Amino acid sequence: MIRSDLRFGAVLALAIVVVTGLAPIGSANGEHGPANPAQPCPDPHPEWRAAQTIAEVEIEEDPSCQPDDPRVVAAATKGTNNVPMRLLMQTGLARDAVVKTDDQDGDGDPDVIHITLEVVGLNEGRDGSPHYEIAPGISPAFWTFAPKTQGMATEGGAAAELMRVPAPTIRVEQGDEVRLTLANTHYLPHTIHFHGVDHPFVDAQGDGNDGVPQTSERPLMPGEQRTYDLTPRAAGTMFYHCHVQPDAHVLMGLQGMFVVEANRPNNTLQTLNLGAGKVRHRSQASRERFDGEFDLQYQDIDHELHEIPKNHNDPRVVAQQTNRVYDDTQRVPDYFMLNGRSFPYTLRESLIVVEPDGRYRLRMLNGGSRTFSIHTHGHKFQIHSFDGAELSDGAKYHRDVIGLTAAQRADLVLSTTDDGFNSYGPGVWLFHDHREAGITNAGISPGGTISMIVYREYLQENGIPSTQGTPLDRLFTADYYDGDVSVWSEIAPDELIVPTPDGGSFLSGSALAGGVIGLVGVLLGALVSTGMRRMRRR
Amino acid sequence: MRVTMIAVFGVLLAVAPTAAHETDGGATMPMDRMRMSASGMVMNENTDLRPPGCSAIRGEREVTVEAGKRFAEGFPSATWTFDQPTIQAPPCTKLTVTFVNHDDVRHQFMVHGLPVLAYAMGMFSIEVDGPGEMTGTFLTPSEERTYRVHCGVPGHENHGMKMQLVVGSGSGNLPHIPGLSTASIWPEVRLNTSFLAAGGVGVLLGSLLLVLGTLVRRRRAKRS
Repeated sequence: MIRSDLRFGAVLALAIVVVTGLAPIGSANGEHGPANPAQPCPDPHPEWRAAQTIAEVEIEEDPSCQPDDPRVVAAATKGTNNVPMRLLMQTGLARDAVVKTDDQDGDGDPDVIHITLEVVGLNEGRDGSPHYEIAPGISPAFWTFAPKTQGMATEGGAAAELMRVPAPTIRVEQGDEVRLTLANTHYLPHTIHFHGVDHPFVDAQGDGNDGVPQTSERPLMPGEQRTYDLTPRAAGTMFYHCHVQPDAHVLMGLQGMFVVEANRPNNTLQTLNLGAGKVRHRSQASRERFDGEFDLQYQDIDHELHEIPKNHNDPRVVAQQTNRVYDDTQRVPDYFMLNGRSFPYTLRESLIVVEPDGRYRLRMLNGGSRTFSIHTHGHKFQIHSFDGAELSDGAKYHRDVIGLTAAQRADLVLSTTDDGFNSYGPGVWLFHDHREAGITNAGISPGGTISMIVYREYLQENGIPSTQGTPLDRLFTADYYDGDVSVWSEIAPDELIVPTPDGGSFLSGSALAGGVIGLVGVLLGALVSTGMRRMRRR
Repeated sequence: MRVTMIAVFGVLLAVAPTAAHETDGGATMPMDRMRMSASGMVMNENTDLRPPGCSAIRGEREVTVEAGKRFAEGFPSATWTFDQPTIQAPPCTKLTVTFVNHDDVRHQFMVHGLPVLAYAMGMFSIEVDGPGEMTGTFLTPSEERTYRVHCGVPGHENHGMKMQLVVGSGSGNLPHIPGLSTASIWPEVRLNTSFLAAGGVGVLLGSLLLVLGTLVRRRRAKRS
């Protein structure tokens, strides 16, 4: 009897291994969607790169592969209430996304700025959740603040393009009367806290204005909205983020830069800088002293947290999984983003493109929970301020590494004067985290926050740097970051490569593991049933 | 504030129709079938362009659909829903929908799968921005089918905002509609790793064979 059970089990085991070995073949393509073409720049909107004037807003050139839509820049500068409806419809922005009125001090720029942000989930694994890739084949789920949009968020449509990480950099002028409405279009409670930005603890109505559930206000439930009031008196690079369950919500992506610019006449600012990056309509103060300005926001990701909304839809389960099952003290980040992308996608939109003999302002924020050490090749930058506070002249050191801890900001001045100190001359100069994990995508290098300072003469027409090393193309595939491409294959295709046995990919390791577990289960079942039968006989 | 905004939009609306039917790579909507007010907008409103197969407009019907968090109370896994799972209309009928939003944030009543000859992107939509209502009219298609209605704000359909428009006798119920589907709104856990899939298939197949084996053995035992 037992022997026949065992024979039966052996046949079963064989069947299971064969079936489970075949199973992943069907799903292999489904896991990461279709592989991306190995194309550094798909070049969807070359006309967005040039310097142009839209609705009387002067927009600087951004020669990178994927610049911001200049129409969005124009609407975010002039105000969604002040641009023609036709232009507004092309941007996807709602007409009350950025409402600008009242030149109170009569100095030629609006001083009452009313911004409305919504809360959007990305890559939540369902139809209707916008798809967003940080690197080839890598799309963790995020929650983010998006400018208020209208109509459908169709894939590739204007509104969907506004839904990304990081949340837009908000730029206002010192002394502006800022109203920020948070419309909670998401399924969990949220708030906004203005980190380092001058704001009163309570607003004019006596309601909490600090965004902290325990000390300031009840969080906004789904479907609710409220308005925060602030009139920042001090200029500087600041931070805004959700303060509800920050161990999950800040890291899930509910964070952006908040820049307060010095007051100047005729200083109409680009109120929103989508996904941070190059500022295409700069403040007067920036134009006085610099030739370009870049917002650089760093984030790190533990994919385990960002898997939760992909696998669960029920808000009760998502809340339990993110706040009671996921344990932030055990967090190990595996993806590292600069302005919402990891290398190589940073090359498409987060290059610092410079000319010789220029001065550039870099505003940097560490929105992750891990300290980084950003190093600039070929340059020593000057540290101008920390956390929105300008350093005294004697303390404005030059460095080629800057470490920022969580939530810290720094303003850097990058000079491209070729003097052997500020700059070593034109080229394609890497700038990257020197904590090396941060330049990988889950351990596959090169990845993470790598980007480049590119002198204009080294930039190709499609916005990709003209490099002299190994080709970049193979990095723009999901296969590469799945670990399926041997590390030296491009320089030594026949060496340093472990040969793949025939059929090696047929039975993948995880499938075998699944099969073995199934087999063990069946054998256990057989043993138990045999045992029970024996007991019954007795 | 509200009044000045209405005035501003009035002016803009007067200008809008002159910008005829220009699309930008499919990313933006044609402007000539869009109507805006202070409380929202109607896309692809259609009172005269007969859908294919409609030789005449057969009648008129009015319906009110409400939406918001309050209607999700009986559905613990939903965040917001429409107040009803189904609306019904005969084919080739002028259907006037008043959409009422009870939440502070925007919601949409958006019908999909309409004939593209009469509806750009096969869609008719009313968006109401915050508490309020807006009314729009469209002509139901000739094809008797069940059409999907949802809120297109990202995540809202997955969290409850799905209903159906049954034209004529329809084509059966759509899945995942609160009040229609008995199961949870959306299946909870996705098996998205080959490990889970393979393990699951293994266990399933194993138990199936075990049951079969037991049956065979029992039959043998009976015979003997």
